[in-house]
Amino acid sequence: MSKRWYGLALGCVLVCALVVSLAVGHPRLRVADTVPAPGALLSESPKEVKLVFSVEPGGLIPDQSLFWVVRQGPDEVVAVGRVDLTVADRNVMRAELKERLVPGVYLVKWVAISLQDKGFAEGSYSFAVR
Amino acid sequence: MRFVRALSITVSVLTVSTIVGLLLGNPFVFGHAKFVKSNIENGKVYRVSELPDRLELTFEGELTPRSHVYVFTVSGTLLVDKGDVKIEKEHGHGDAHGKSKLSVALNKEKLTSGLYQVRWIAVDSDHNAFVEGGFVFAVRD
Repeated sequence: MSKRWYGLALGCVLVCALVVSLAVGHPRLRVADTVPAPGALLSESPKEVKLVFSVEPGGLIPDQSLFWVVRQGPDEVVAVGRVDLTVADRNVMRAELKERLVPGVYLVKWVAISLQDKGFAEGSYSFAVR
Repeated sequence: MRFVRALSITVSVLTVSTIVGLLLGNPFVFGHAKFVKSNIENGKVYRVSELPDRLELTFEGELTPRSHVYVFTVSGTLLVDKGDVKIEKEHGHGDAHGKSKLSVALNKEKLTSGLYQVRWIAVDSDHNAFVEGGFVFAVRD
């Protein structure tokens, strides 16, 4: 009986290890470090948009990892973010907002690709300026 | 009198054509780039030898360098393009806005049997309007 349980536990561990190994190369957005935070309602325009990712050593591919800040309604791109080359881990994307964002809802659409295994990840979130 | 009549007819024609353009969703009225065609077809199964060296997408309107295109595996989501995105303008006869070609080279060594997804993001030069889209194709042995 105990051998059966040991076998089951070992199987679970192996499946978990397989899932983790498949997903490990894909960048993941660190929501807690993202500015503005997803769902934020801001009283004034932010000065920059910063996305931070969990990614394996080597970081993100600079030329292919991008994000777009899109004003909803006219669907106008107000800024494009790129990998911050001053960050050694290459896990931060940043866009400086040179002009004030007018009140409205903004979509941040991101694509992140890891350098080590070219794992592709994408996502989006919204924030608002009132 | 004849001049006034001609002017009123011209204004009427322009007004009607603008309204029709708005109702039909004319991309030039709204300034959004519009996807026209691709040299890899949505839903088609290819052998690697049949695939072009570069994926080429054609759009109505002019695109900015903020536009991008990606090709990646549906299973495992790994990138299989070379990342050398190019944007070229094409001006046709009688087409003031012209067309744009968004292209990227395929990494054919990585194109094994399976399903692949194309994801594009087009930002036009008139209004920085954002449009995205995509499609899938398959590769067989």
